[in-house]
Amino acid sequence: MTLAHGDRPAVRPRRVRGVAVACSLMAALPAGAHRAAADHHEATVTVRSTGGVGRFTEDVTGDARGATVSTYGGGGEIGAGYGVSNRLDVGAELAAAGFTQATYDAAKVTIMGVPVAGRVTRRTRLAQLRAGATLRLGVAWVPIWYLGVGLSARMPAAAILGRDERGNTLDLTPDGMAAGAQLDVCATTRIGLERRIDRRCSAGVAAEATHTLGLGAPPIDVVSAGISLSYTWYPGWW
Amino acid sequence: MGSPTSALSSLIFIAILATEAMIGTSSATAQPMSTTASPRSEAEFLVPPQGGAFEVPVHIHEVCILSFAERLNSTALASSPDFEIKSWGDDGIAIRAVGKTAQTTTLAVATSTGAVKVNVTLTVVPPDRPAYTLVRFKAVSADEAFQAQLRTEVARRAAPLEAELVRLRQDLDGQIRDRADGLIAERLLKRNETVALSAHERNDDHVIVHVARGVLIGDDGYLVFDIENRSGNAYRLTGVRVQAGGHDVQGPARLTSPGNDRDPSVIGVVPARTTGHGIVVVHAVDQVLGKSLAVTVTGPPGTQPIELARGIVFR
Repeated sequence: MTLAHGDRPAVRPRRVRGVAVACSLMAALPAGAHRAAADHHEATVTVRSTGGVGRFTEDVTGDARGATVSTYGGGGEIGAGYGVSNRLDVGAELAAAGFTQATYDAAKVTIMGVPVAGRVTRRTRLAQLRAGATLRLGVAWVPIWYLGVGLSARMPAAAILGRDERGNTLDLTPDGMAAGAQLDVCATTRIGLERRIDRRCSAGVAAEATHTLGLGAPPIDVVSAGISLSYTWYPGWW
Repeated sequence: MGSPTSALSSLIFIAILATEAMIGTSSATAQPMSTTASPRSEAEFLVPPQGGAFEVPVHIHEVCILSFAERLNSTALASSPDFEIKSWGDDGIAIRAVGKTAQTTTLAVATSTGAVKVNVTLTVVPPDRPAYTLVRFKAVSADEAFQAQLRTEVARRAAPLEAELVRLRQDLDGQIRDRADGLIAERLLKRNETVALSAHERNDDHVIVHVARGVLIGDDGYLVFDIENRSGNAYRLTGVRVQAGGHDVQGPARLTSPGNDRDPSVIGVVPARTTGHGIVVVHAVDQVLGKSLAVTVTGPPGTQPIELARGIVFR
């Protein structure tokens, strides 16, 4: 399902905000019950599935602003962290997400140098490698706040001009919109709540926002929520 | 310097003394005894049927009353004019040393029935020495008089020994500490090494054990550990087990926050959201050098033990 530029439904951002608020409330509740800190010396491996909304901008308007479209996406993350203190974990994580087709209804593109107007569609995938720190504020119930930066690989599929302004059906790739890959930088923040099930396993929910700053390309913003499972142990490194 | 052993010997000596005195009961002649001598300068003398002789210290110019349980027979006979002697009712005598040269006199007194016959030696003592102002004479049987004598003599002989025992008890802590300090010094001279360790484990109740270092002192090793109790309940430590190759090698364990429970099986208590520091001894550590040690920290029955199976090696 694709959201066209200017056809931004109010329900989706509202849902995202709702998830974020719910996570914040859940994070606040147990904070008073356990003031103790988190997991010094522990290593953690986490897998997380996410679903959310991404905002993509393509240069299909003939001006510098481009057109921005929101579209659903989903993916997963795997991360590893180490507790450097009872409140702070540091670690790295690898995230990948794919997004549904974005549709630009009034796109102005060129086909082999010939200007053409019509509907352009495109899918995009993202892969990110991030390093960051997690503030952990609990024992059994653990409110978390993560902040990380890293590299983001933007992998758009080839854009398709499916229909021109006269309604003719086409199946052409506009100039400069072939499939490719581009490296960006990204920053991610996440807030959530984890529940320590036993000494080894935890489960959690979180909402996160990622801003990808394109190096020569328009930025991408992703807001998502997800659930996670973690395995924790003492590696005995020091 | 005395020792607890010598104190015990002293007590045995007292017992032997008492036994010897009792063995001599049948043959010994009953002697007059004073049974009480309070700080209020009163005394009670027990007089056996055959009579007795007593010494009564007095201060000069102070009146001393000699009181008897029955009427006196006649006027008391005194051997010195330096003492003023008057009747004090029918059953008593008041005496006072009045002469500047008064030192000693004897006074023979008997009651009308003859149950009490005494010869009292009045001795003037300096003001800084205790003296009597009231002395009661009580007629008793020969056995009662002997028992009183026995008690008095045992008490007299035991007094310095008891004082010595008290002193030894006071010194005992110091002696133990000196001996322990000496032992520690000897072991430190033999070997004193610290081994950095990194072992951590937890249970499902958010109680975490950290073994951060070991210490080699003499023939023994010591594992220094922390118990970080992040739960909402106090953690009661009941045991620390150290195994090398399946064999127990642990000695006693101690925790900085010892338990105040009456349960002797509790080594210590770590209150909620605090960290307790502990040590467990590893005996004959040379035999486990280079071997991986497994440490199991246990709480009361029903709680999950915390097992640290790697990262603990004395090198």
